[in-house]
Amino acid sequence: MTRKKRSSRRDNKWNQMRDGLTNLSTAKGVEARETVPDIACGKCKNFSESPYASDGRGSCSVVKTGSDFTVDPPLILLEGDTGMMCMFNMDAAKCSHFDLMDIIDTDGNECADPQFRRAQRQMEKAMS
Amino acid sequence: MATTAKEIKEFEEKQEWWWVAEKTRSSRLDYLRKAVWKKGALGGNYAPGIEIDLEFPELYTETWQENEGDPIMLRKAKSIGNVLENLPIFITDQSQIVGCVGSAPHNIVSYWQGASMINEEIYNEQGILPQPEEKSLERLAALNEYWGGNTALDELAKVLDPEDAVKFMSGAIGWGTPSSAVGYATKDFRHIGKGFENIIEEIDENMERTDKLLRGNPSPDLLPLYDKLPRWEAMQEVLDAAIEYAARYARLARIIAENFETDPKRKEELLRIAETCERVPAQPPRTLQESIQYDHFVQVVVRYETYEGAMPHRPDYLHGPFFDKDVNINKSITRDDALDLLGEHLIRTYEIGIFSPRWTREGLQGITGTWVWTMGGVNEDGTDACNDCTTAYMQVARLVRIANPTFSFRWHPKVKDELMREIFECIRHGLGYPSLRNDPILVENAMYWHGHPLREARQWVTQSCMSPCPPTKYGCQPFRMASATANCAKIVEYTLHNGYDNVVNMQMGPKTGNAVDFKTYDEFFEAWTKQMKWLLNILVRTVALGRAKDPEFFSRPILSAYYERAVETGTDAVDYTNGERGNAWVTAFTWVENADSLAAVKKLIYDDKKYTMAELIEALKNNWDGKEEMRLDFVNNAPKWGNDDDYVDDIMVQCLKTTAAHGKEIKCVCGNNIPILPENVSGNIHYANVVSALPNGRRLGDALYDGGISPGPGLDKKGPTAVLKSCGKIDHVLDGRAFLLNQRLSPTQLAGEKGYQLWKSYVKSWDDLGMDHVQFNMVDDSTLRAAQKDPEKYQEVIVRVAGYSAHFVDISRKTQDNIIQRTVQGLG
Repeated sequence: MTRKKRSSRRDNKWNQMRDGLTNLSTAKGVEARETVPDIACGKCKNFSESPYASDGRGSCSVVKTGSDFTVDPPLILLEGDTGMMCMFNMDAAKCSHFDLMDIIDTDGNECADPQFRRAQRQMEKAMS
Repeated sequence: MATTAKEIKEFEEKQEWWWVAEKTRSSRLDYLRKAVWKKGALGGNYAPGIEIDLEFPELYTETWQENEGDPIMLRKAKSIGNVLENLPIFITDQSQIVGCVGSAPHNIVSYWQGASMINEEIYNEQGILPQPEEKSLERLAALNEYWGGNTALDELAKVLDPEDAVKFMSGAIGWGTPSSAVGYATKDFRHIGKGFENIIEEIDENMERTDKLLRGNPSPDLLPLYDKLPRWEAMQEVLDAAIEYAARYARLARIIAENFETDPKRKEELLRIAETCERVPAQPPRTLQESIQYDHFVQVVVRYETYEGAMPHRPDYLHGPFFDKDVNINKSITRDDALDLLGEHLIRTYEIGIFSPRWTREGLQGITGTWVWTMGGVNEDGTDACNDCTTAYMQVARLVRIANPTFSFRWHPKVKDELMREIFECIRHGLGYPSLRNDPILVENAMYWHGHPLREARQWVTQSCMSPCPPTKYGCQPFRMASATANCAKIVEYTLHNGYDNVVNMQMGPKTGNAVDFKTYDEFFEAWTKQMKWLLNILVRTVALGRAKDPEFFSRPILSAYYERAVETGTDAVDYTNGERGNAWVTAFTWVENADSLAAVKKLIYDDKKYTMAELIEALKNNWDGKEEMRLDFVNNAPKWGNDDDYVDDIMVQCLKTTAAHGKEIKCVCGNNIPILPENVSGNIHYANVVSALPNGRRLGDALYDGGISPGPGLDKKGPTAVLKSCGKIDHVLDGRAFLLNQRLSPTQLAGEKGYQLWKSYVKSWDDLGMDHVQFNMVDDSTLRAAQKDPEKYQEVIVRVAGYSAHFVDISRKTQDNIIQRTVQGLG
């Protein structure tokens, strides 16, 4: 008889998000780090940068935790009380909710508004 | 062309104190002041020319990789040793104090062992990469890939409760990194002052004694001893490396003196630098120069171990006896010579530059760490500890006019009038420091909250910006508070929105119920209390685990060598089982919004019933859009803190007492209590776009209030006495710890003797009301507005931000405006 898996609060959305937090910066090499796709999360109105870290991580106000753009077709969840964690240079080409933001603040001198700030060096290049 | 006394007088009359400083300081100080690089971020970005040091992390990582099998502290000690023994060093022209954090004067450093997200932020950062950029990117990518997923914070995130980890790192509810990778530690200067070679000998004795025990009768008691040996070895390794680091400066100074220097006076100075570095830190200092050099080496060396973001310290107490001996007794140097040394001490400290993640840069604009030096105060026996060196530091601060370090002055009733005049001069010259700290109140506070014995409490230093901590064997705190900083405006925000955060799109706080259903203010306050407890608990839980795991994930060999209790027990300084008494607190950013918002809800929703809760929540969710009239009603017709109005002041006191009661329920890792410490640095600007609209009339994006108990800018309408009376209703011992109060005074009104007497009367009222802190900005609006228009001309204007000072031109426009908006109080 297969042992029934015990419920674990560690095997839930928080765990997925925690993993998202620690695994977001997995870019390898210079090229992957330097690439900002034409349709990137950082260019979307729904992306809000994390006030905690400015490596470019943030969360989506529409797409929820558990979504996955890397599978085909993409898995997009719209229910839940935690937004999906993403990076400014994450490819959002498969996201049906991508909504291009008109004003992107790449100047880091003023204090930031997480909704509009994208002060990473790569974003400054991508927006110029 | 020499400046005439008449010209200086004119600058004084125009209150252009920066020109007075430039024209009256020694040529050496003038050169050194102008030669030092500005390393604090300008708002959120670093100044042009500032570069991240890549030599340091590469040297560190190289040895780290070679010693994979070693216990962490020994592995780390060897890595630091490689850095101290091989990183390029330099001696600045005309300087007499040596040692720098980084391999070049324009460099800032970072610690790749700390946090992957900071490492990646450095990679992504604008403008700080050494040229050629392509090569730097390759070097950075290589470092990041080695450390990625393996830093102290990565390791901690794996063991934290996932919900706690996500919410803590959301950036919405708090600040800080729960690791000593980013923090600050009190230093045990009495122990450090023995000299590093003597500490090495103590460790030798401990190791010999332990070796003997390990060869004796077997016992479970022996088992922990095996782990102590490599820790002691690690402490010796870093102390030896620090001695070698100093010796390298000695050799460099001799080489320059004997081979290149043609000026006989400078040659003599270089040889004195060499002799000094051959003496300290290996042996205890004998002269003022040796004492300052020793102190500076202690501070520099520990910053090759970690981001030490503060400088808990009593330099006048430490260097005072040497100052007195050299200047007043032996007369081996003149007072002007001594001022040059003290002035350079300030400049060399200003030179320390550490990369800060953006949230820290925004919260500490214009500086690289809160180097708040503690001055004055009392001795262990309660006698006045102020000395000639205290006076000299005040005088030289006005000459060099740097914004970091700043001074926190431990005021007590025995302080002499002459010294008070020196302090007032610093404030009048617009430095924004020293802040005044009420010594008897804070000694009592340290005893009440953490049980520090009287003689130890009397030795307290400012741990960071504000909190007192005794720098004693069992009083020293190795880990910032530990790192819990709460964005307290979220308490009232979550009370209104059932715990949901609309900025970071997450259910953050507990679901305390739909506020529309609260029938009474008491029900509303009950929900507020639940949100407050949740906020403190999640932050303290997270940092407590970070603290407990720190010796395993990060490790502090240098700090351990600096702590008598760690040397004695063969433990990591951060290990909470080695006898530390515990001195933790939770910094309460954006605190006063709670009192003003609760008062507005009580008055306009529950008492006057002018609006319904549903209307208010709707208006807040829409950021008051289309409800300007209603918003202004909440701004103007709800009572505001700081006007001696019991309606709102009672709410403030109720909030504090409720929180203090919870502070007595929760414990730090040492088992001690945790008070809140209301202050803001420039977190009020950083959080402006993170805190939603509030019932005090604030909109998302508006700056939050600037102080810990300062009234909202422009909302204190009844003058300075009313502000003091409101603040005086707080029990500054029982209700928390160290309540930051910003006050703006008029430089015109406070000119001359009359101005001094007015200020002194103000200080008396402040003391009579039992308050523990106050700091002053005394630069008029016209100067600040002129500096906004023409920053090049006003590079040296300094302002008190909150808990620290900064050059006005180095802070963001929003922060500048926030300072200008603060009410200028007329005294008398």
